[in-house]
Amino acid sequence: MNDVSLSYVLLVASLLCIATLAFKFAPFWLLKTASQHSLVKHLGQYCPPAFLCILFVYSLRPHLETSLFHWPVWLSLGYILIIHQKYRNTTASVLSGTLLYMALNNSF
Amino acid sequence: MNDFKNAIKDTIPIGIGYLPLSFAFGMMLVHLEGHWTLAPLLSALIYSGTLQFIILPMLVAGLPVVDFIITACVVNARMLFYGLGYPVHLFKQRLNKYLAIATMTDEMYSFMTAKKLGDYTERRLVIAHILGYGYWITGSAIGALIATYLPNNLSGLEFSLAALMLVLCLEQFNHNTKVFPFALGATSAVIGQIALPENGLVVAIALTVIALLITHDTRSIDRLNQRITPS
Repeated sequence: MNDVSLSYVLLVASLLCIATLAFKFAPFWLLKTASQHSLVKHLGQYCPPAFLCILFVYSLRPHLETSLFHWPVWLSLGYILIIHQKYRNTTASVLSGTLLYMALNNSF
Repeated sequence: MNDFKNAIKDTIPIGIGYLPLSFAFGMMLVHLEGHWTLAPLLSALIYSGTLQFIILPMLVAGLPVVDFIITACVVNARMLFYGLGYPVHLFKQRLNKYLAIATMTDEMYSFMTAKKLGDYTERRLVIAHILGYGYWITGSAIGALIATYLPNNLSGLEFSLAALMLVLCLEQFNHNTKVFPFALGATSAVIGQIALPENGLVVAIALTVIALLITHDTRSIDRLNQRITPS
């Protein structure tokens, strides 16, 4: 990050600040009347899981860039899947899954 | 004073969730050779864990500002739908209401909607929101300081983002056990990646929204769900 200028980082951060606040406030001002419309309900039901799934696939990309079969990734994901469905503790699942990946990735 | 104590008690689970993630954010930023002071600054301005993790590699790559805006729209789209269910009627004062909306996050949303808060004072709820914001900023500063002064081999720490995403997907799935949106998201992401490796995210989002507009007739989705949901 040494090569990018501070003003660039600050510009991006301020824009993201505005964009994030806009998304938080918009439904309270705009969607009140539209919230009963069936299309809004439909999108409201299906967009969050679909978008999360897209972001999940994209968050895997840097770890699979060299090979799709980088097994520490798949093993850690399998571990998180099982441990989370069993205990449903977000922090424990994320922390232990990340530590497992770091251990596997750095030792093999 | 009681409100403050209660708010701390209320937000302990949120703090436990925030601290490791904000630590990881601060560490990752220093790992990418950012100055540690940028970590609390970005956390204070953006206050969205997912978005902050995603933009770090983009900042390093020096991508155009437009790319950041598109990413923010994609990542924050779920906030639009949080707003529909957020219990803002608990805030009578306008300033408190705005503070609560501005500091609304995934974790705050689950805190505010998981149980009945009718007997909570307005002050207690506002303090809880401010505490959550404070935990996030403090955690990222501590994480960045640790990484600056105790440099260690942290390779693989970025995996925490993938881990968080998987857990958020699972949480969504546990609340809404329909396979269709997940299959749609995953398929769109893979198609986007193959079709336009540089801007796959935009393609994936567009495909998803188009597919959802086409399937607006909910009966067709129910049929699809029946077909692909294992019985």
